[in-house]
Amino acid sequence: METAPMETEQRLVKLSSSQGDVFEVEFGTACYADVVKQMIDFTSESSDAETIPLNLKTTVLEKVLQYCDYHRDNEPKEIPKPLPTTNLGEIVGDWDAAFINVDDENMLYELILAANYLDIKPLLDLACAKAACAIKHMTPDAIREHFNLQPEQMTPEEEQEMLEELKWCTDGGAA
Amino acid sequence: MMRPSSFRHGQALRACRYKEGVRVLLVSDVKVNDRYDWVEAAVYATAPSGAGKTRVHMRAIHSTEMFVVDVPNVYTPFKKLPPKAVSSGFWYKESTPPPPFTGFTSIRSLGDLPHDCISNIANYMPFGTDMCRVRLVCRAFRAIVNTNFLTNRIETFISTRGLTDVVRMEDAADVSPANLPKYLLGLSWILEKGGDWAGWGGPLRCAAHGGLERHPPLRPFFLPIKLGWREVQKVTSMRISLKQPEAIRQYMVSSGFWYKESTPPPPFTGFTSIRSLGDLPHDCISNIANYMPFGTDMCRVRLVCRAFRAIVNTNFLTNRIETFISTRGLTDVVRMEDAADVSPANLPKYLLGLSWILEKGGDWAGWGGPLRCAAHGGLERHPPLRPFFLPIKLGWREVQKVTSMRIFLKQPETIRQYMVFGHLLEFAVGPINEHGHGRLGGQGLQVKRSGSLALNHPFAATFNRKDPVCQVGSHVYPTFTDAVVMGRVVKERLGFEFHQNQWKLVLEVSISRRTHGRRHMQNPAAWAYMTHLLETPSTFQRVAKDVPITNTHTNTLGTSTTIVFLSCGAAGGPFGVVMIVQKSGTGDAENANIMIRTSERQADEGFPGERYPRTARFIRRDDVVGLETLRMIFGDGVDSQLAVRAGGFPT
Repeated sequence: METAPMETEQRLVKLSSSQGDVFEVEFGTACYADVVKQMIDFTSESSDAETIPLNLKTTVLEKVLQYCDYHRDNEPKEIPKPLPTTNLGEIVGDWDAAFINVDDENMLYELILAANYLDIKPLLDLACAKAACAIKHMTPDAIREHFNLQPEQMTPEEEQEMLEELKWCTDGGAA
Repeated sequence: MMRPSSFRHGQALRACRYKEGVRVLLVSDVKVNDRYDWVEAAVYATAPSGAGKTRVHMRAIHSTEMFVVDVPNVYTPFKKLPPKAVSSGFWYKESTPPPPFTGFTSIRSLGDLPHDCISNIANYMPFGTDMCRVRLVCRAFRAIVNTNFLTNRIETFISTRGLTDVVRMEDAADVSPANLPKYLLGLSWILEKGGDWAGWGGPLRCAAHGGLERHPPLRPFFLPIKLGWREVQKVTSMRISLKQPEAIRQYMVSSGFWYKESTPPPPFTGFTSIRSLGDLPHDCISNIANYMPFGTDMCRVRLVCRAFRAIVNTNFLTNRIETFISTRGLTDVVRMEDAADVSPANLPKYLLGLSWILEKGGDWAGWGGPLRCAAHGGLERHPPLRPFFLPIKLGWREVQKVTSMRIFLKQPETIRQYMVFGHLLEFAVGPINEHGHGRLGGQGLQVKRSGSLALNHPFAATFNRKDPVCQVGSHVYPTFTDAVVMGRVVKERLGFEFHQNQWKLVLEVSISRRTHGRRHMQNPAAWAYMTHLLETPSTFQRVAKDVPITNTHTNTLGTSTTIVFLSCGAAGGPFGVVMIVQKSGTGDAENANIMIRTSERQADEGFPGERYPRTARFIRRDDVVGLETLRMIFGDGVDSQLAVRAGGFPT
């Protein structure tokens, strides 16, 4: 028997994090993620009440669901490439800018991975744009520290090549 | 231990379901220790056995037991299963207890994935170092990416490009077993990294047909070319090979390659959690890089992050530059120099620099129309003075022109852009100092500021700080692009006085406020139209949208000229059409001359419509000038003048 559209919209879906926490969300919110939608389509054939396990931490899943819930009725703005300004609020709007303004860089990575895993392209773009914004007027050491990059072993040629590039940009031109 | 013969097939399915490689569960027909035995077997052969059946040969998984079962080709399932239903060759045991389900084993590594998943992964991977590394560290992967896999992939590659009659892989039997995997991996890599080989189909067919000879010794050349171990050995360096232009890279193969699996891969330590930017998947890093504007920040991240450097490579930069140009509709105007023409040492610097210049240069689209006009109007290149063709090639030399980023960014956008390629034209521009003074082609250039223009200045209302009002010598131009293309190029090179042979007069009329003579006419409507044209600000870029463009410049003596580019080749066809309005005098003595000129080749003698039929058709279009406007300006005689002989030329 087919389910009426309204009935489907109001249906609740259970999603569980990798830590076992279960979130009950509306069908429309859950289906914002293509992967979850496919899982629902698959599981609904067998049982309505089945919980869909997602390989995401509770905090990350909560954040992702917050995004999905907001944007199911508010289409996100397309983010131009490259970014014309580092003020994300001007490009994506205040809600998205506040949403992605996470203190912890690891949370940003987790969100990138979650968006990639759940196939939520607007969230992936937003998180990547945020990472791109973060790299602004930082010294190499500051970039290393901010993004937790380990110093690399470079060959002298590689290092020279990189320094030449950097010199072009910092010393002003190719001459 | 049960004997193989005591097993019957446990799944009553039609014969068509049993393909080679399919796994089935067999169940014993007697109980041992009060339970049935189950065996998992794989089908390895099928053959018709007559009487509507197929003989299925199976081998037990994890043992050497063989089973042979005849299965029906057509099977009608039971509507209601009896307790012990017997079909020919099958037992159905309702009471057979299924083996205890222990659940799927958890996937802990790539090798634990089902074989078809690994095969799928391998199919997505391009050939090269990565594939070799995974083969080295993963037995399951190695088992999938075997010689059959590689052979199939190579054959698919050749056949999907329609090159089966041109290129063929050497028979694997002709390659020594020791070299076989290396040969197949190398050939796959060469083919896939070689680019689009389809372009060689035609030339090689022609060459074979034309009697090309092989070397050494000189023997007739036949198709298909066999790419064998010898050809793979010709690639002595992957790095050098990849630096070649595609066609050269491909041609190198026909005289051999050495495929090196390069350095041994690092030991596989499992997937690590994301702790830094460099740990993110490559497509995510690429996405981040795409959002970053070029400049110091990108160079710094390249400096500190190897993964980022691997993504933001020469291909990435080239793609981004090409996207930049194409999204602005400038592919016929600007092109980047072929990377092969830049020395390898300068290549990353060149690409980074060019990307930076393009992105920081502002909106380059404004140059599309002017440069098309200039190219069509006979602009010359410097040095030496050669005809100027589009597209302009921006190379390492142009990047080097930007000697200071700080000064570059201080210029108005159009001057900034012209600084990069202006030296290719006859009139280069130097940087403008803080007082707005500079030089354009040997003449003094003064860039006006918005505040420095009087309120009643003709260009005050249309002042654009990105393309500001300029004065070159005694002439004032509404924009810098006008100063370059109209002031310097059109006036001096295209000239109309000097290029009368190229730009033929189609229609001409003189009008004035008062009637001064026979050829002059008093026409308030035409005068108003002319005044409107003179007051219209320059909108060069509109040429790309197939609409007329106008330019006005005035000099200190009060003479004004407007040139309306109705077509500059790209929009209206392979000829240019201009409307020129020149006004002089003051008060009642004001008079103007309006001309329409074309560069269309003269077809015949007679009326202009017969001599320049395409121009006549073009200017009669309502979206260009329109017959009504032409009548208003040039009088009713324009109907006969622009009449086009029927069947003469296509529109």
